Amino acid sequence: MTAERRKTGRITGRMMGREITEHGVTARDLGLIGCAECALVQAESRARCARCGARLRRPDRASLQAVWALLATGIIAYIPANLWPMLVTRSFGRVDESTIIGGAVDLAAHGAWFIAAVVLIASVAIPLCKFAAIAWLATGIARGSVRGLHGRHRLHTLVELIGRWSMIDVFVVAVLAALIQLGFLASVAPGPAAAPFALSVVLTMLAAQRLDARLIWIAADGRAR
Amino acid sequence: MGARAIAGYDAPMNASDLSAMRPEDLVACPGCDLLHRRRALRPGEVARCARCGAVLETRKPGTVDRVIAASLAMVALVALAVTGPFLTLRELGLERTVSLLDASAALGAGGSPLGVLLLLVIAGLPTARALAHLYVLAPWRLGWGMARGAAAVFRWSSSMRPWAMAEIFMIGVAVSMVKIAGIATISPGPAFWALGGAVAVLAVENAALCRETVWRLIAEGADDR
Repeated sequence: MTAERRKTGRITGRMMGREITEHGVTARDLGLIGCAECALVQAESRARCARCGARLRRPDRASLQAVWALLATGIIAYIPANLWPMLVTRSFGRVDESTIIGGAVDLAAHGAWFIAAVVLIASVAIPLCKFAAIAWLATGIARGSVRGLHGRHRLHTLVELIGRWSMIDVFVVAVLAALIQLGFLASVAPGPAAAPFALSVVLTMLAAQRLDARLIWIAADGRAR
Repeated sequence: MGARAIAGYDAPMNASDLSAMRPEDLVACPGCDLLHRRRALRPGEVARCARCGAVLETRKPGTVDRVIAASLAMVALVALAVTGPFLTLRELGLERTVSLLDASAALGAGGSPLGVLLLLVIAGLPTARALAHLYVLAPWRLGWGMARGAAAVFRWSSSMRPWAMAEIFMIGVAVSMVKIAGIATISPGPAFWALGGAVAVLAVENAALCRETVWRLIAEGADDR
């Protein structure tokens, strides 16, 4: 408990009817808001930023609903993305369909361990970890958790940074399908999994963007609205 | 410098600290909402949040000239990358050279929107962002004053940053080349090097772009009119 107290901040005083912790004062404490786009600090009551015109988003737990909706849709799209074939290869009249995981297993079987690992990390490990991370962060905010604030904030930054790299596999399919068009010898076409996979990446990127990191800290301030 | 919060950029602790301050003197942390006093930064300095460590503000010397130069290079390199031969595949006397347009057509086969989206994220958005930066900064640099609608244009460019994926595409190309290397000979064309160059220029531009500087210029320009 003492460790948690140090992290969330000892209460050192009161101002405008609110408790002030040893860390200082947040913009929200003073009825101010920092623009997410250009960082200008201004009155919380404004709808748009006085300098750059961006919509001002007050940290609001209601925004978690959008996060959950985007995340759930992203997870649903990820299911066909893995069950359907990503790549359809025709060679000497034979049709071979491979899924994302199947393609990576083939690569590993041919000894291309490093590339197999890149594909598996980008297309399987990152999306799955991202689903879990966003769900965990949203749950923590909804429950008003005050544990591991720095870790959770860092996790959110990481998820926002890394999520887009999952697109690698879609690009691989595009390059292979363009290059390998050798008629009867071999031809490659994108499979039906490409679209739901891309959709899943986009939706979870949006979910991570909509998750407001300030909510993690507001819960810890103990003054959540 | 580095990861530490710089001296003088600390969080005000009490009401008497804050009563004398105007909103312009304050910076709210984009990560955790904590208020900090603004102080003029020396070139190369980075101000970080005293609580969560997120970057509050940077001061990068020569940001306008560097971003203009990088944007011009970007437009030229992406134009080369889209139109020129990207990769050549040789096998059993057969030869096939493809451009990025072919990759887009292959992914868009059967009317899939992915083909258009591919071109958008690897060429369209990087070019549009470069043009947006030129639109905002070049007239000011030439002494013609701030362009009409500069704030909206720069805001759009910032919001599109995660969706420009040329660097991720290049990793996808590398994975494809390794995948094919076992079955056929594959060699990069001029467009490959152009897009590689564009990715390097993008890294330079991101390192040189100081958003606070640009927003300050836009706000001053708007006041002049």
